[in-house]
Amino acid sequence: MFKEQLNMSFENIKPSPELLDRISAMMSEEVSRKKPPLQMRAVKYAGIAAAVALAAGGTLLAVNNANHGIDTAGKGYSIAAAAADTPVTALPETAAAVQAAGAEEPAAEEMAILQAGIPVTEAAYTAEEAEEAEPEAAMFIMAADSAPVDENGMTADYDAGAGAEDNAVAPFVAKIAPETTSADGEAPLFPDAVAEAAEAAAPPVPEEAIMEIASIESADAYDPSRAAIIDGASADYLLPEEPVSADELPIEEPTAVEETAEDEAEVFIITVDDPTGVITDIPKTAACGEIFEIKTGVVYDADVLIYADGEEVARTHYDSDYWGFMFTMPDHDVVITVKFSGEW
Amino acid sequence: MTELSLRTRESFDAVMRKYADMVYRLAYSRTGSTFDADDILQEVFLRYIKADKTYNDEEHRKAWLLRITINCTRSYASSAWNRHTDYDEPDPNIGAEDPALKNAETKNDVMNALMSLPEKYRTAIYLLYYEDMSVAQIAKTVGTSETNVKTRLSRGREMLKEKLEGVEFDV
Repeated sequence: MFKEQLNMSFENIKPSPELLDRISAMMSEEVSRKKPPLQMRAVKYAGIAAAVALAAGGTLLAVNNANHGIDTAGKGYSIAAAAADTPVTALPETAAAVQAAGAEEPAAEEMAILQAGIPVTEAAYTAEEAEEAEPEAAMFIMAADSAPVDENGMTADYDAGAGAEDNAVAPFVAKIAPETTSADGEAPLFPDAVAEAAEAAAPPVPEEAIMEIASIESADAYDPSRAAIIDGASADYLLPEEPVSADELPIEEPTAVEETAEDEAEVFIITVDDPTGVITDIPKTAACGEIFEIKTGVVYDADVLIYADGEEVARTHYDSDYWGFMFTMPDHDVVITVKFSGEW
Repeated sequence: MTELSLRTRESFDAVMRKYADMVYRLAYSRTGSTFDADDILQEVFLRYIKADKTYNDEEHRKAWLLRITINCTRSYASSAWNRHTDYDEPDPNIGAEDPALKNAETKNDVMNALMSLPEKYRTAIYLLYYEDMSVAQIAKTVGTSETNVKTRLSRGREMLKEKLEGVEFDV
């Protein structure tokens, strides 16, 4: 009976059609605003990187050839060559292609992605896939695919210095050149003047681009040895940041809300069982009666419950920044457990 | 396991229109305000589209939306704008802001009685009797223990009995 009455009473409670239309429009906008998946973006980056490497790539391949043969892609030194899945093609044509594609000044984000070292498997796509996502990028890959290759996997007419003469790739060359040596491992392949001029022309990497790197899953596979191809002076800020997990949220100092314990009160031990999600630095000991707030991050997909020796600690603070649980220290050692309810 | 991840605008829109009433009514039952329910409805589906989760089935999707709605109302209640409102206390102005609803509600003692309950009892009663959820599902959705839910239901029923003479509960 109550159920029927309740159903009837709520029949009139519904959103207006105008509101639904507005939300629908908002959702459409949100969908269109969403960035394409990382893999699709990788095609773009890989394509541009391929062009850069093809232009400047004589250097890369010279090093790799000297040390490892033509195993460039396998060693992960050049994601560009890996993306193209082929050795370097003729440089003059490639340099022209770079300019034709409007890549005179590589975006900082693209540069950061390139230097973060996306694993080969994520960057390597077929020309068809690339064309769908990024026609310009596909052009480079297809051009590379069609390059004639000798028995060593090398094209006959690459010129190690030619890439450096091209303004379009100068910034990249500048990052590569200082650590790049010729086949004998001694002399730099590029004159210092070229490297300096190119470095001066290189745009600074904005913080957003660095954050972009940190958000890329593939950054987990970052190999520090790749820093060898990055300019030593600027390598630090280009390194991807460690991904921040829930339990690495900023630690706040414990908030002593009230001090009720007397100075000579006995101190008891607090043991925290799995502090996942807790952003408060819970003290290891506390006196009986001491009250402090345990803060956790807000979890929208689940609920956080905190137990002290199995007894639920009351949540006293809901906020968009954190949830707060007021805990009063008992007169004995206590084990604090944090649990997430529900698997959503 | 059926993959129901929705990736097209049409699908998002269809889901929104399918569950809009459910989300809106739960938001209204918790806030007692159609204006707040409007905001929460938008927020819920914005989170839905941002989450872009894969759901095991429709029940899973429904439970997720209910859960997000409850979390949104909590966040909304604790926002700076709404801190002056105590959602645990019955709002004496419920129904007074919307003339159409006011007419409907004044005729409806059940609605008024329910909305006069403290928020935690109101939500438990609503989810049990309107959304046909089990005690376990309510506990999971609200984020508390089943014992707590049973207690809230029991107290909520007692309060409703006081307000609604002769009311009979099926459960």
